[in-house]
Amino acid sequence: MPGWGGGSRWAFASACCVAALLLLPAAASAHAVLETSVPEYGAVVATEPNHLMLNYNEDVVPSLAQVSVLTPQGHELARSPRVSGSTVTVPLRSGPKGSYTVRWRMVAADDGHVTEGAFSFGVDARPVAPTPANGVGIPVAPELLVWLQFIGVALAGGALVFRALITGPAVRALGRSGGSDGGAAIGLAAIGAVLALHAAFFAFLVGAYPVVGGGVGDFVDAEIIPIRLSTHAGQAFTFSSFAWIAVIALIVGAWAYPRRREALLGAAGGLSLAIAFGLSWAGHPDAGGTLLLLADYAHLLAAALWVGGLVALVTLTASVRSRSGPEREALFRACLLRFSAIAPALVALLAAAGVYVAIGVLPSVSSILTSRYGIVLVAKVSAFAVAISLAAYHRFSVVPRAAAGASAAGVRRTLAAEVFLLAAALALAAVLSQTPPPT
Amino acid sequence: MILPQIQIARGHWLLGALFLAIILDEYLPLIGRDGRPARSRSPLIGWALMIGGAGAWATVVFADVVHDMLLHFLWGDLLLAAGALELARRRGVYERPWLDYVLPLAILGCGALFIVHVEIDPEGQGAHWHLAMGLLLLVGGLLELLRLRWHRASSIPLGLLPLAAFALAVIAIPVAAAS
Repeated sequence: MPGWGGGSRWAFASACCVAALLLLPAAASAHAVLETSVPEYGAVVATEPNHLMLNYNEDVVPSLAQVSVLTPQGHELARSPRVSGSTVTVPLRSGPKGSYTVRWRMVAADDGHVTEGAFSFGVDARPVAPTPANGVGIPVAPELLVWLQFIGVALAGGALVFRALITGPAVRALGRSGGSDGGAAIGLAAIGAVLALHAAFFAFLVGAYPVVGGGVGDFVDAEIIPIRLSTHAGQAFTFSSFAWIAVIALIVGAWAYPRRREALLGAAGGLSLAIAFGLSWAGHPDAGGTLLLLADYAHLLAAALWVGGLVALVTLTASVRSRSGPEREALFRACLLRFSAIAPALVALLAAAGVYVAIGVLPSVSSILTSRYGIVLVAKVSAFAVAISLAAYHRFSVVPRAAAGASAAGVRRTLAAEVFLLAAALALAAVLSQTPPPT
Repeated sequence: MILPQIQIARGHWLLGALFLAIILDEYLPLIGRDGRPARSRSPLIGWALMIGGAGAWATVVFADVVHDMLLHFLWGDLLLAAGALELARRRGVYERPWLDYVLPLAILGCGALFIVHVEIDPEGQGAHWHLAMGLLLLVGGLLELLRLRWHRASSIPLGLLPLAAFALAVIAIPVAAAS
């Protein structure tokens, strides 16, 4: 069979692509999608509306249209909907001020496909996320998914920033060219980014599930756009999905292009830490103002850098497998000393930001022991306290000996124990993020 | 932001054209400097698969219904993983014999997901088109697997025809939907 050179193949391929792109269609359609509404998603209206209008992208079946409009107290305000083609008008009873939840279910007139969805708007009040439907449970623990996102940020962000700020300078100070080999760092970061991307995806769905209502079968066909657009969780999911994809692309690029590895991994680490802002944005502190939000983000960053740095330190030997034993030992000692120099600042930032957030979220000192939120907070602080005790042992006992030239190889086990303690503390932080603060 | 249908259609054209480019680059017979048939080492297909994966994840984010989110998330993962492995192999940083099967298996997996998509939403827009496209991918992936398994020395790209037909179908489906 005759073959072609690379240039001819590319010219042919390009010509085919251009020809294919010239086949321009005019339009396409899909099942009944809510395009606009009055009031619209997330809107604040001054006075209670006497009707709700929903506009779909295609005609819906009048007799099967279902719309519910609930007050903050859960009272139904919607009367029977009137359908005219693709427009559904719902007369409303009068209700109080507050955030209203709209839940709808439509059947497309052309293909009979069922869609449903929910959104919220406010009457003289800021709308909050649509309220969950009665009797609808969450099939997966959201705390687990938040915890996996914390771990992902620590592995992709903390470990890669550790590599850029600690390992790289340590290697250069020891007089060797280039950074460490990077295989383990790339593997850890990839696991972290993939974990966080998927946990964010499922966390969004788990959060949306009770809002939409109905069973799992109904949820699979639920329209999700309003929840994505009108909630902070949805906005954070949108932002973090694209950002995590970019992080994964940077990590893969670092794997495939060793010459640019350090720059690509540094960028991936920085971007991963930036993504963590979405976790604060979708959490409780957002309701307390900008300072509280920034404090929560600083708290999360400090934790991610601490945990990620420790993981990178524990796995450093695997990262530099191509070097000789004495070289690995010297690099590990140098990294330990450098990390121990910045760790106290991280712990101080973690503690200060944590205290500020606690003061901002808790209404009184007594609520620490009288609310579920307070009790979980105490458990979390206790776990961190044990981890800090272990960190102090490393800082004041192991590090001086290493600085004096003693072997630091034996410290890896206690460093690993510190990682597990911090992972437990992060699990409690995840529980805290899903626990309503006391009022 | 809600993507208008025309934007979704344009996305299909772009993805179809991209797919056409990468399979032509991958499967058109290439003659090496020694005059013998050679396999493309271009990193294009790796990056194209990664971009396809990112596009599938974008569809996850902008999907209007949950089942589209779930399906495209699987699709995105499959393409991202295949893209990363292909890129690493072509750049020479990770080479294993089984990596030869990554691309045909990814094509096969995408075909299976097309079929699942139709099964979930049998009355949806263009179901018959999706079914045909899924079958084309399944046939293309299977033929390439067979070629690798039993005719490794052959340079005849058995899967090229159904895969090119798939690319043209991706481009043409919005035309059919609009008519």
